Amino acid sequence: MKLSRREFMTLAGGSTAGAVIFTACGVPADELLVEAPLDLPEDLVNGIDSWFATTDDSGLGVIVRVMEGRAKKIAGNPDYPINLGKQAAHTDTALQALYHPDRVEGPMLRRAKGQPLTPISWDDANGLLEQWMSDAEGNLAIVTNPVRGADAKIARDVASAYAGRLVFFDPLEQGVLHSAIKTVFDQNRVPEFDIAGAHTVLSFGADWLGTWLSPVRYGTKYGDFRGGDHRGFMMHAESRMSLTAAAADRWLTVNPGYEGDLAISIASVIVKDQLVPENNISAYTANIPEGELEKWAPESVADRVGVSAELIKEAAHKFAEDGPSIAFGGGSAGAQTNGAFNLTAIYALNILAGTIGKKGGVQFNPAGAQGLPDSATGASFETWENELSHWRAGNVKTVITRGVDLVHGLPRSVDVGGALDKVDNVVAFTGVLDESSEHANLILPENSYLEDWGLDVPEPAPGYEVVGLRQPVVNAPLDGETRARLYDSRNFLDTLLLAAGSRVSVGSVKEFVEDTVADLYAAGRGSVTAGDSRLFMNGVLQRGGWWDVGASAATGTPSSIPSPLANAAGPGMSELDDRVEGHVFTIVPFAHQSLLDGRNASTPWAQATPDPITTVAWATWAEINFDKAEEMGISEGQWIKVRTTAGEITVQAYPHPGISPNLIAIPVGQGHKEGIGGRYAEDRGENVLNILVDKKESETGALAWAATRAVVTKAGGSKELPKFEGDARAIIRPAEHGVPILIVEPGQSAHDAQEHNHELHLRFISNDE
Amino acid sequence: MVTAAERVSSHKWGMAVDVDRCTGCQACVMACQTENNIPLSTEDIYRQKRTFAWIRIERYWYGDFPNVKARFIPIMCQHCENAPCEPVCPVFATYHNTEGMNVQIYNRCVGTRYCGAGCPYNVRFFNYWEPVWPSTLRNQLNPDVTIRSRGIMEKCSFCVQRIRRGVREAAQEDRDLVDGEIQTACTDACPTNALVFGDFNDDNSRVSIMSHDDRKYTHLDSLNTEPNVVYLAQIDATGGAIGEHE
Amino acid sequence: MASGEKTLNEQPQTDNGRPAWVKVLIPVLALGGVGVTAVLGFVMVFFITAWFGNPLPVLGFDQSPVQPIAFPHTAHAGSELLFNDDGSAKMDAEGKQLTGIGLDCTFCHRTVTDTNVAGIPPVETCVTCHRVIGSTQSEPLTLLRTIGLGDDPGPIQWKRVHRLPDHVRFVHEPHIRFLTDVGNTHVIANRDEAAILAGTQSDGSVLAAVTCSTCHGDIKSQTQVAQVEPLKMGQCVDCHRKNDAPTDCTTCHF
Repeated sequence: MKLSRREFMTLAGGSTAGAVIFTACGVPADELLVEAPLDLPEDLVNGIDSWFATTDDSGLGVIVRVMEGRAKKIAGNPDYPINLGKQAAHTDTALQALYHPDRVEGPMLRRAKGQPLTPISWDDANGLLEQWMSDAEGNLAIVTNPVRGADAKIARDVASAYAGRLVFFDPLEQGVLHSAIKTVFDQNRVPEFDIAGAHTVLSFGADWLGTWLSPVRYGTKYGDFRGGDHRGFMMHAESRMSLTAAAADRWLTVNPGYEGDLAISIASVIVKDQLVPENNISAYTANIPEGELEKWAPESVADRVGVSAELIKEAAHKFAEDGPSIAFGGGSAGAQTNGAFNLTAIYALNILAGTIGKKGGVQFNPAGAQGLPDSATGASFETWENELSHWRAGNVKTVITRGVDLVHGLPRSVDVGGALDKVDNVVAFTGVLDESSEHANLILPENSYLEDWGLDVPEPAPGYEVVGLRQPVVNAPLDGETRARLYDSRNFLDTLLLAAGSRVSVGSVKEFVEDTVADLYAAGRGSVTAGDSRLFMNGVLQRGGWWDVGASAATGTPSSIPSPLANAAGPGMSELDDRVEGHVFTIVPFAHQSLLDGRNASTPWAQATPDPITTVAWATWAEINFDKAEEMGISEGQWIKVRTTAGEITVQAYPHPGISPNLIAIPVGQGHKEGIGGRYAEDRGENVLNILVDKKESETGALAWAATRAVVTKAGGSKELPKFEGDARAIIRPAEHGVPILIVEPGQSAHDAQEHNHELHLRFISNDE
Repeated sequence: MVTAAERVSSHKWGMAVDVDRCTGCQACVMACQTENNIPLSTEDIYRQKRTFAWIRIERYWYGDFPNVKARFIPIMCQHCENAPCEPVCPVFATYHNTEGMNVQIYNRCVGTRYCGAGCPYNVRFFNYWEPVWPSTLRNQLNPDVTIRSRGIMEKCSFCVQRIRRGVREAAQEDRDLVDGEIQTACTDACPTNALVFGDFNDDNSRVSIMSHDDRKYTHLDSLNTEPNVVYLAQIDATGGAIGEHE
Repeated sequence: MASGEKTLNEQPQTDNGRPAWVKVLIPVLALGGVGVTAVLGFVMVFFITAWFGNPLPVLGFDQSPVQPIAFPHTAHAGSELLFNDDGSAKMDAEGKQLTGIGLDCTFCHRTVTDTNVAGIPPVETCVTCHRVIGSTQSEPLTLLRTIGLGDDPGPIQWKRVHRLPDHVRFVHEPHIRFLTDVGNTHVIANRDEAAILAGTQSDGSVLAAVTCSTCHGDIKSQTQVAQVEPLKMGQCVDCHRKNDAPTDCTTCHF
């Protein structure tokens, strides 16, 4: 269109005036509406908030602030014994998962492999599911994240109704931990670690204040450990500076895979110097051949372990002399080819401490109430290899996945995508589309936990019986204008139960929850007392669960244990390919503080939470030692190639002083391809899990995910890392010591420390001139 | 008879931070983000160094490998009694109120950013852009907290919406406030109880007791800003390790 | 130069010797001037009225919007005789003129004494009475259909009358608590001595319903609710000052 000058001026003038008027008077019409609903439950009064108790998907009790059916805030449930009102960095991200703009809106079907997804109705989807499940009689696989309580019970019932199996998947599996606890303590559940009651804590490998098991629970205990009448002493052995290593009074920079040697070396000092009572020593050494322990004398192991003999001796003396003491570990210490040996050696230290079942020690947990499944861990990598070979052979007709992203979570070498493509029917329950949904025929939108019923038996439990109750606390999210439901999602298990029909005796999850709570009422004990079962149910709903402080497990110190040295072995690191042009590092993958293993990657809050150590957000980085990086000519933000025999990734370097020079630590959770994982996660970062080499733990067959070696080379170029550090610039330079963190020695007052720092500062300034 | 105004101004709100307990877990940062409708810090905003964090965890390195230590400290608006941000505001959008809080009145703010320049703690954040949320995520926004538009300065408010509500509900029930009844989002979240919120006018409150601890110090106290946030020093049980930091 | 041809200089002449385009321009300018003055005047009136009270009811600034249901507060809250729109008396089946039933405000706006919001009642509340009273009956949906909201009515989308800007947090509860308290009746504005007397309890406190008129005006005499008070910050602050209420900015702005 050709405009004359005059026409142009007229239009411009008109639109400017229009813009002014509409901006000035632009009150969105829908904000001036007050809705009067047809009927109004007491707890949904407009403008008034209510807090509802429920249980989240990481085993914490939470309360959710709800206004007009919409969730506004999640906080810890103060009544719940696990977290006592506290929460983790990722707790609130469930709100964004609930209202995620890229959440799957309705069921979708892929008519043939490689074809696009087309929306179908729930009726059709249910029909297909029913058909596919009965077709797969005898060869049905249901895959979920490790779940306990009602979820595990019902999923297992459905699987067995079709003579199929329920397989758990956890990318950073804890199977070795469960096996070591069984070996040392003969327990099926992870015990309670009474950190608050201990005076000395010695931990190995597990980032228990960051991401390991229940960091919130351990955090509450850590607060008391630090802040009670007696400030405890904490030692942590890990090869990278995790939050736990940062919190420790003494960081033991153990070489990966030598945690067991370190633990036994500490034990050898305690035994040799007779630092603990005779009974404890005899229980510990009962099955150790004479003279064996001496081979682990600090001087002989210090080099390979990477911790000096003096520090080992100091640790032994602290551990033995300033009790009660507790030792525990897991995480990367168990993710080695000798993981079972490492963890057995670590937990055996508790026998020397003599604190099992006592204050400040390891306390056992009773079995789950009402026979609910009380412990869960991902199936071992070996089991997964078997399972996938069945899929690949076409032996499995239907696979149902929920809450897991197998393609993202397993090493590339096992080719999960290829195996899924050999399965006739792949059904994926999901919130936001992930890597695995590309291989699914049927995508079913799953409820957020805020919309579901359920029962959880938390692990780790607090030493007594706890059942967490999950209830729907929000209304279905609606579109602001059309008032239509945004996401037509349903409960995963209810959908399976509908398809299973009369094959399973459970009608629905809600029914199961109500029946179990009625049984608890009949048992007549615990935290809720009520006149009838209906009031009892209300009581359980209000408190977010039921627990019985009296129902604890008997804990006795074992009089003897299997020799912790029986399977002693060094770690077996992955091979390197022939072409070594660069520096060799061992990869330490670790769970991200807010993305965890990647399950929160789709939410912008989890993405935007800075990593505590590096302060990086929105990206995948590689932590390498500061001096090593300097030697290699790598600076912050530079792209580096990390190559293993299984593949390579290109990530940005973040050099810092808190990591061994032979290690490269890379967080898990990112690395979704374009168009996958929602708008906030797609095409972002790299996935280190895919380039892990499939080394297995020798006894349990678990994936030794911390045993991969890589060649690191510069990839050329660099980019500024999106990090928080440097954002708040210090105004006053040079700052004194003690700004902003003032450090005092035990017993020293802040005033004295400040005076001392000030003197140092004055001296520093005068030298400067 | 206590008037409504006296009832409100009888408190002196403050926070005590036990640095020795802080593990740097970021739970407070996220809880604050959720409660206070803080705009999302995107990757670009991170690169521009304009991240929004009413409360943040700063990390400092001490020493060299292997005798190295990462230490954390949570830093939020210090609510100074003698605040450098207050006298520079030409429109009185930020001032000290009778409850010991340094408050920011959004509807008065004209966005000169003088206060941000004056603050030695870097705890003031300027909205360089209109905050945007996808329509579905707007369902989560807290209706008790005003969304700050472009050109407005914002900062930690001590969750004043929770204080107002707590004080009002106590008045409604005609009783005194109980220590710990009013919690900010961050103190509520903190797993280790490193953050404690309360009333300095109540001698028996936890913050008052902590403020008389031997380890008590205030951030940049040489500036004489008299903050209402007090810190308890971190204890180094292994001796030494007091080294350079970044 | 041939006759009938015009040169460029030969402009059409008018009687008093001005060119024709000037003749057109004068009334245009005159009218334009009047127009501009009128627009400016209107804008000024708009801003002045908006500054001191409520803006003129144009451009969506209507203080008394038409509601989806013509709900008469006169019949529900008032106790005067009722009239139809045409001015004729509203009669019942027996030919007696109807009067309002004089419900207490808190009968429907239930949460006003406890919380932030007064609360708009759900349709269920209407049905509580209309199951037996008036021309409609039974379930909420039937009621809405009878009123003429269509076959699939859903919630009623009332238009907000009294609204404050987004950066203001108003809480009803403490205001009602103060106004109902013993000895504070003098603060109640637009006061109707008889009503206050009728609403005074034995201990000297007054019923919540008597206090509403302080800010909302005489709602019970309005068939279509209108905002009568400007509800500007000055009004709030004046009253807060007079009555020793907090005047700190964060009382309302956060």
